[in-house]
Amino acid sequence: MKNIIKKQSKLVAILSVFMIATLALVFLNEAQAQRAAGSNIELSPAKINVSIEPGDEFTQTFRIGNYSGSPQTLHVFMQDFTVVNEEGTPNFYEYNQLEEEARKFALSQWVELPFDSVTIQDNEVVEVDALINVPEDAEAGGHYGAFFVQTQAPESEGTAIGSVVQITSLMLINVPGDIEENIVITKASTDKSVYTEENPDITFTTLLKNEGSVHGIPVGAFYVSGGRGAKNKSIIYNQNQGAVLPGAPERKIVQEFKLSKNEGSFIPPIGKFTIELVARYGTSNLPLETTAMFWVLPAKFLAVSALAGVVVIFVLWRALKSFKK
Amino acid sequence: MNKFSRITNMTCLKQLKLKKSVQKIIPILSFTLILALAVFITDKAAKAAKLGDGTWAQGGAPGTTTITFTNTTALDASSDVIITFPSTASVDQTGTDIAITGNANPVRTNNTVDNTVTISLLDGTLDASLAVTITMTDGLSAYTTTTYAQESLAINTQDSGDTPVDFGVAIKTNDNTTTVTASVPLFVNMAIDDTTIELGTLSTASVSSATQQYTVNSNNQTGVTLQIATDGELEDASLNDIDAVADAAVTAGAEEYGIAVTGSSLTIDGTYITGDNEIVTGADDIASSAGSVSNATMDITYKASIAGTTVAGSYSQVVTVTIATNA
Repeated sequence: MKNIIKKQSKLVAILSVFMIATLALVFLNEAQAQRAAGSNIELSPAKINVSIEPGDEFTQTFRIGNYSGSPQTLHVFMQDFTVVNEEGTPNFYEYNQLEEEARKFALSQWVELPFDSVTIQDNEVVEVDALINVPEDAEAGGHYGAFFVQTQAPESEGTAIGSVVQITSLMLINVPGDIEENIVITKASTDKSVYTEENPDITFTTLLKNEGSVHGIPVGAFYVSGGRGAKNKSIIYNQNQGAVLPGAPERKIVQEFKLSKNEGSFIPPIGKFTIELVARYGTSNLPLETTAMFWVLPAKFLAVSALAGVVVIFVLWRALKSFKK
Repeated sequence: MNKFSRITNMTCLKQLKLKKSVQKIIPILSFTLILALAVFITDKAAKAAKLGDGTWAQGGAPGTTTITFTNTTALDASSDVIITFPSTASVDQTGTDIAITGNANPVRTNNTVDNTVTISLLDGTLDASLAVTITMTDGLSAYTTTTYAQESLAINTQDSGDTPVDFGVAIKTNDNTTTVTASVPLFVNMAIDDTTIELGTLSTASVSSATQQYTVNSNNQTGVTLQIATDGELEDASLNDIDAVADAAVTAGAEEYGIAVTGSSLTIDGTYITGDNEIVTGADDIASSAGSVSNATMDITYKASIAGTTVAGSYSQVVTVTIATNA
């Protein structure tokens, strides 16, 4: 009996050691994996455009997904931004860094986040409710902030570089009231005045300047007509929803297109074409209209046509001469 | 002069006359030809007049399409109304349902290349100033509901000779973008393969390097921008640092530290596109895209080398890469 108990005790001890060792290995592997792994974070929506009355509050829910293969502790915070170039690239600032003039467009001071950091398990999505409190005396117009999600700096040994990733969502807020909506087209042109290729790729570019107090996202279409050998066609303008912000440089809206050849036509698109832009922006669909023109003179086609024409005329002239004799 | 010589002279004279005539006529013919070409290629189409702004409503995804506008110029029985949709809406190639004010039997033609629907007014007309409503239960095969505040489509009218008559837009407005339940949310995603780049033990004999890959996805149509920033120099606890590269190449035996950047489906900023470069402390654009990106990558290779005078120690730095959509 004693022997049986002894044997059982031994077995329990061995099993316990084995289990502890196994668990230790599992945890060690996990820890190593966590150290060696990278990160994969997703944020949506990546951009919002909302109108909020003074004195009102609005909750914007952001969804943060962790697909890193391990739990991640992420920090969330707000900053303000301004647009710094024609492409609409944002630059971020803390509210205190902003100059007095730029603070009238700031948003971060009105946004409350429920926490500073959150740990998200692998393959888990967490919702963060950002509460936007617009004060009664808020200045009407556009206010621009960015919601940030940031990974933690890793601990490292020896000579090493630790990586931190920040993912942002731009928040474009309009506070209605005594706002000035004023976007003007400063330039509208194609990339060339004359295209010598056959049915070329045409890039239509407009530069828009916001001289008002609130952003606008123009929508509309442009109509390409004229010339020969091509169908008149409409093309949707600013499908990419590029925003034109006040106090920012001119915003470039670029649209590439090709002319559509007439069915059954033996000639390629040729001649002078006109672009008529009809776009609208703002709370009352303010007009944004202009025209531009370009020429398509396909060199090969014209050269062959001219040569053929000269040959035909010469042959006709010779025939006429012979007939007179 | 014999008969043979006379004939030869006459032939020569004829050829000379012919040559002169040809020389005279070719410039005239060429000028005529150029004039004809100029007339031919000059703007042939009459410009379209403007339609008043219309509205566009989409009953679902895709659901029924309803477009309203006020007609400007009267259209006769052989005219066409052409609707051009944006890329968020895909015209249904097989759709046939069409109703348009004042027309009993309009015919609809779908073009999925140009994303247009052409409505032919076979036995009806559209009067000037008429409020027109177009409905199609199967106008679209797909419609992506968006968080956009506004979207537009184009309306063109043309007469029986395909001459443009009127042109305008119809606008779809969402009251507040966040109230829209988007089936495909606007998102941005960034992954890195390793959060710690270990350069190991640096030596004067070689350049230590390690590469880190960033993978970027976003459906934002205005593109994304990636910025890089650091918390300071690559330095040890006593604030001894490894000098930033200044000659565009990290070289063995010299104390230098920098990065080389390459990308796929991303445009690398001019500062980083060639050679090895210093990472500046403040946020600096490093890569961007002009449109949406799918599995675009940016590889950053960190390189460091030391000189005989470099102080021994463990050097570290935190590099922050920020991704944002363009406005």
